This record gives sequence, structure tokens and C-alpha cells, in this order.
Amino acid sequence: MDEVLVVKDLHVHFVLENMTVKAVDGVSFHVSEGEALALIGESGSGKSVLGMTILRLLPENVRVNGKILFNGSNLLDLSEEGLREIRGKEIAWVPQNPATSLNPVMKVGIQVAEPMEIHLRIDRKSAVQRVANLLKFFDINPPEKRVNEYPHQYSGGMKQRALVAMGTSTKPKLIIADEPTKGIDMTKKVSIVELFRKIKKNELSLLLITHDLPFAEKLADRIAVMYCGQIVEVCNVKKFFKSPLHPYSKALLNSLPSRGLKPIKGNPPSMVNPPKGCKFHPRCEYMSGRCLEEPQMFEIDGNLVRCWLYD
Amino acid sequence: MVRAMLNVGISFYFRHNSIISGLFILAFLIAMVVLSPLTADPTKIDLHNNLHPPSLEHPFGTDNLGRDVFARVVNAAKIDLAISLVIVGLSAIIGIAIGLISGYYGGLIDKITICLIDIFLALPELILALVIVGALGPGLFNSALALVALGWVRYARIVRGSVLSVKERQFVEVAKAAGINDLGLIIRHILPNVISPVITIAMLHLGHSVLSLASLGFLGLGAQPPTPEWGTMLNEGRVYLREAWWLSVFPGLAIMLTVLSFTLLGDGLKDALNPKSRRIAYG
Amino acid sequence: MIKGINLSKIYESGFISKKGIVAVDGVDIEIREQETLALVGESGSGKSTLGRILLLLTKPTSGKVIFDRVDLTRLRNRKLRDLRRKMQIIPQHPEDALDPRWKLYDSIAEPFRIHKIAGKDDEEETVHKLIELVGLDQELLRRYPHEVSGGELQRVVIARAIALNPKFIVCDEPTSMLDVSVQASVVNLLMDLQRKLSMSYLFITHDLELADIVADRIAVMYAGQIVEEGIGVLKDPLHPYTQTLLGITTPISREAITPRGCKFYNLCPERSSKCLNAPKTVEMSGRRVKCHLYMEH
Repeated sequence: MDEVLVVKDLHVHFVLENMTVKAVDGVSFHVSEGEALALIGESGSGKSVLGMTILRLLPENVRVNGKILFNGSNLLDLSEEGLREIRGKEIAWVPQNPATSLNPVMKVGIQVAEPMEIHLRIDRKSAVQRVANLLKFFDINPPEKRVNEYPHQYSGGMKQRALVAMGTSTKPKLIIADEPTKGIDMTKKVSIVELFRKIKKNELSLLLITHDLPFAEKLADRIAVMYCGQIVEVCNVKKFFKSPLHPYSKALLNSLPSRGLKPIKGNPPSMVNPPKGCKFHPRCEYMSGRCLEEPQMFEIDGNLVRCWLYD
Repeated sequence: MVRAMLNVGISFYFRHNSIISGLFILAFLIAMVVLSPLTADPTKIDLHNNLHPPSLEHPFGTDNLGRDVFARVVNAAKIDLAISLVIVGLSAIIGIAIGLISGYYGGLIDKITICLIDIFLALPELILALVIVGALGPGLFNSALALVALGWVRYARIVRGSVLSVKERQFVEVAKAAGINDLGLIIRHILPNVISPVITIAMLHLGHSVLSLASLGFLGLGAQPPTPEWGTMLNEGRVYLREAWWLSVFPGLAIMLTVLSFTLLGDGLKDALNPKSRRIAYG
Repeated sequence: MIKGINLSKIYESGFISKKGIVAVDGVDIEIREQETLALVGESGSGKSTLGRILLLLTKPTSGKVIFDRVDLTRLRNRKLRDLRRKMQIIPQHPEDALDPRWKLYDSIAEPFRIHKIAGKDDEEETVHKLIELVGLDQELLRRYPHEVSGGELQRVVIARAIALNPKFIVCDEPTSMLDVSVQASVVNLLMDLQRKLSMSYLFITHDLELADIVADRIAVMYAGQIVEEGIGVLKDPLHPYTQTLLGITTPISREAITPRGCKFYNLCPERSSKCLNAPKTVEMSGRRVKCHLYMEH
């Protein structure tokens, strides 16, 4: 299977007046064709920064090192022009807040048609026709009427589906979805799962950035766990939810209400002054002297763990 | 070493030039006011020495009654600045209070306030001021009164708008749940969160007030002779513009510098207080 | 200990047409001493509004709220404010729950100052004790809300809420904005404090699994009404809506809510012609259900 996206040794540092924040500290992973990889992490883990780095949507005072290979070329080397060819066409982004991600004074149909107009170079009329079909596919009915409506006439769920429609309209190779279930009722999460399952069927690759574990369980093929700017585990989904490898993964799963709501001892790490050695060691049940030395990634049965326990 | 300091000084100046220039001029004006007792008597009439051009003895010359123009300009500063401060202070207090009450309680009070605000803002301020002073009679006190009666509106409008959004915020509800009464809520929570734009507005209002006061004086409706006031002096000097330019130019310059300084300060403050225009290297 | 009797809240819009949005529709609810009642439902079901009505932060359009045998709806403002010492709220957005211009110390101390309890020294001692109780460092007291994380902020909000030893706290989705692991520690803190200080909670959430762990009893809300309430609701749901919530059955279509009759009629897999009339709440073996299926007699 081909690899659609390969991230190699990525470092993203924010340079502030008197300190440097290592938001992404040496991250490597890949997403294969047709697979869904869930990037799991809590606030401050660096997962959102990672997503934005792939799309090169970062502010100016950021130092980026490493490689992001998409279809053979390094995205970090591309010019703004080259990037524009890729953004929206080959790599689509479904942003976090559907309510604020749509222009309130533009008809939805026109907004959804925009990527197609720009990248596929088709005229507005044909684009809008395609939009009607897309809306139908994503259960936004009746499509002919909805194309001409404004965002405020759409429900929250519909807005999100419209955004996904916009993202998939150019048949991209990779979709990066940023926290699709944030702020969404538990009761409505089922429809979001189905929404993403629908796109998976069309052989798109999915990079799912989320902290919502039950959601990831339903959609992902593999799970990558981020903690304090590093990837600490990459694991097959079934194995992850049955018996995760890294102590942080274990603790995270145990803190779910369905598994007992056990808190993780200690506090979330400071990105400004992270712990020395293994970033998780101050909160780890299995900590030993060795943990003061930063662990490397170890491979177990095709899965990866960054922990001395697996040496 | 000195060079480094100079560099820092210059770059600091360019970043905050509005405020610094404004402060310089303001300092100069204040110096004038402070030194005013040292000047000659502004009301001393000396008909033998009238309409003399600027000289060592009379740096700004003398007016038609032989009074020292420099002394008059400096003493007028006291009046113009002080009265303007009072106007702005009172307008702010009244405007903020009305804005708070109207925004917080809504209902009929709010509807009346909005009506008033719309009316006052639609009509030119000076004309309205003329009407009021015309009705009350000319004089410094009535001018000030008129300008306060028109001045509160700018504060009420901005405060009311901010109150409308602040009162919906979560921490207001939490304070209510703790048992706070309306007055405590308004003063301790809402007021501090709506006050920042007021400072900039007040600064600009100060410049505007000086101009309005001088305008009324120029029209003969403000300070009455022999009280020295820049606008009145401009009016008196009108007739002698050809022969004695110094009667008009110096008071005019004073008005200009004062208004300029407050406007620069207000503008600079607006930028300095606005977090978005701060040039910091954060993401 | 706190009872809501036939509570309704209608938001009216329009001067002439008077279109009303019914947020809460004739709800009876009771929370007993030292118990946690979880109020679950979708967003828009009215659960937040109901919570606020119980605290009289929102005035009900009709109905009564009885707290410790006092009818809150009939109280004068000053007496109500006085009683507020005994009932508090922990809201959903910790970043906005505290005045951004106040130091955290002052936010926690505010309840004391409002009710004029305790002099300066006592106040300081109590605030320090409170911050310790919620597991935070004293150093945090000097800071401002924007300098502190969401989880820490929520703990400060909790510290403030328990400051005057309330008997009843409405927790309105207190953890839905927090990370998973932070949620676990905040909820554990809440449960811990409940035991220590003998309080009751109305725990509003849309997370059924969380409700299951936290609650003694669960009430399910739909379209402004409590459709089912009792113990073991999630293990053995009786009302068709609860069953769709748990994924046991699926709702049948996606139309709007009918104004007359049972509000769940349009989506209910078990509907019949009886349902065109409004159902009554039936009590059976510790469970209360509002459904025609159980109204046989």
C-alpha cells in the first residue's frame, strides 16, 4: 500500500521574546492510502499545531524543521504557489468550528462550490450543479433548495456536513479533520461517525485530529498518541483499545467514564518547561530511574512505543 | 553607550510617536499654565502702549487696550484647559452612568436613551450648543453647561453597547448566583470591563471641548470680556487682523497646539491599548 | 430538599404575534439531600434552562421552586439573595466563569464579601483552605484567569462555589469543555467534595456514560419535558426516547416536533393514535415515565 503522507522528524518551535516553545518535538508518522489515522492528544499535546504545519498555515515566528512528504514532494520546500495547488485540491481540511467556518453572508452553495471552481477550473454553473449532488450525498435535503440558502438557515449538523462536502468536492487524496466532534452532543455523535464513514468508502485517506477516544475507535484504522509534542505510541486500533502499550495511553483510556473515570495523577505538562527525559515520567505509574533519559521508539509487532518498558 | 541609548530612544519614539509628541506639547502647555502667575497682569490696561507688535517686553505684543497678549494667552490657557477638563469629567460621569443603567436594565429607560443618543448624534453639536447657549444667555458657565449636556452622549453610547455584551457573560451569572445585588454587579464587575474605550474617547473629547469652547467664545457666546479666553481673543482680534496680526495668531496657535496634543494622545492611546496593533512576535 | 413543581419557561418574541418558544414545559423535579440527580438530554432539550430555573437565575413563566420548604418564586429580592449562599452554579465554560479583571484570589473571596461574612484575616485563611481543598497551588491565587488552564480554572470555580458551604449545586456540563483526563480529575473532585460537605448536585450533561457513573438517579429530558426519571434508567430504559438515546432503537424520521400530544410522536418507533393526546407521568416501582405505553389503566 502506498503512503500518501509521510512526516519525518518534524520539529515546530515557536520563538517568543524570552523563550522557545517546542510545540512539535521530533514527530514521525505516515498515513497510507485509504487508511484513517487518528492523532489523539489532549490540549497542549501539539496535535493541532501539527495539523496546521502540514497545511503550512502557521504564523511567521515559527521555526520548522524536518520533512513532510506528500506524493513524493516535501511540502515544506514548496512555494506559496505550489502549496495553493495542493491545499483544497489534494489535501482538504475540515476545520473545527462549523458555525464560524462558513461565511455568513455567502450562500452555502457558492461556498461549497469554491474549491471546485478554483481547482477544477469549472464554471460556476456546473460547480453549483455538482454541489447539489454533493449535498444530496451528504443528506442535506432538499438539495436544490439548500444550495441557495445561507448558513444561518442550516442546523449545526448540516453546517458540518456542508464543510465536509466542501472538503471532499475536489476528490482530494487526504482529508485532515480537526476535532470534528468538539462541542457536539453525545447524542449527535453517531451522525458524525456516519458522515466520516461515508467519505472513507471513497478511498480517501483520513488524518483525524481529535481527543475524542470513542469517536476515534469507531473510525480509525490506526491510532497515534501525542503527548507534550511527541508521538508516544502508534498502534493498530483494535489492539489499542484492548491493550494499549504506552502508560499514558493506558491512563488515558482509564480516565474515560466508560472505564471508570480514573484521573491521571499529576498535572498536564508545561510546554514551556517540559519534563526532562521521558515527558510522561512525573505522572507515570511505572516510572524508574531510566526514565530520566529520553526513550527512543521501540517496535512491537508492527506497533511503535516510546517507552523504556519495551526495550 | 550614548549611541545605543539614542538608538533605543529613537526607535521608541517611532513606535509611540503619537503619544510622545502629544505629551511634549501637553507638557509645554502645562508649563505655561504653571508659569502664568509670573506673567504680567492680563487685565492691565495701558492705552498708551496699545497695538504694539511683539517685543522683548511684550513677547506676543499688546492688544487694542494695551494688555500684554502673552499674559492673556497664558492665562486663557488656564481657563480653556480647566473648563474643558470639567466638561469632559462631568460628561463622562453622566454618560457612563446613563450607559450603565440603560444597558443593564433595558426597558423604557433604554428606549429613551437610545432615542436621545440618536437625536444628539444626528445633529451637529455646535449648532445645538448655539441653541442652548442662545436660550440660556452667553457666558462661560452656560457654554460649559451646554457642552456637558451634549457631551455625555458619546460616553453613553459606547458604554451601553459594551454593557449589553458584558452582561450576558458567564461570570456575571456566576456573580448573581453568589447573591450579589444589582449595584454591586454594575460597579464591581460590569464597569471595569467596559471602561477601557472610555479613556481614549475622553482624551479625544478633551481636544474637541477646547475647540468647541473656543468656537463659542469666538462667536461671542462664551467667556465674556475681560476674561481672557482664546476664542474670545480671536474674536476681538478679527477687526485688527490687518494691522495687528499678533492678536489673532497667538491665541489661534495655542488652540491648535492644544487640540493637536490631545488628539495625538488620544490616537496614540487607542493604538497602544488595542491588543491587535501591538507588534509582538507571538503566534 | 429542592423541588420544582410544574415549572414552565416560555420565551416570547414579537410584540403582536407573540410566538413562544417553550424551553421548559410543565416539569416536576426533585433533588433530595446529598444525592446527585443527572439531567441528560440533547442540546436544546431545556436542561440548562431548567437548572437555572431551580436557582431562580431565570424566572419561570409558571410553577414553583421550593427550597428547604421555602417557595423561592415568592421571595423578595433581598431574601432570595440571602438564600443564594446555599445554592450555587458551576457553569460550562470555565474561561468565562470568572471576571477576567479580577485576581483569582478575589474571585474566590467574593462570596464572603458579598454577604459580609468574615474579616480580612478569616477571609484569607478560608480562601487558602479552599484552594487547597480543590487541589491547587496557593501560588495560583495571585494570577488572572487568562494565565491559567481550563482544568485549573474549573477548580477555582468549584472553590468559589463551595465557599459558603452550599447545600445544592447545579453543575451545568462542567466538564464538556475539558480534556478527557482533566474531566476525570474534576469529576472526582466534585464527588469527593460532595461527600465531605454533604451537598446535592443537579448534574447536567449530554454524556450518558458520565451520567451513569456520577448519578444516583437520572432524569431524561426531551423538548422541555422530563420523559423518564429514576434509578437504572440507562440499564433498563422504559421510554422510547431513552431507548433511541442509548442506541437500542433508532428514531424513525427527522421531522419537527408536534405541538399537541406527545412531543416525541414524530420520531417514536412505538407510536400509536393514543399519542396524539398528551401523555401523563406514571410512577411505577421507583421509576417515573411520561408515555402512553405505561398508562394502561
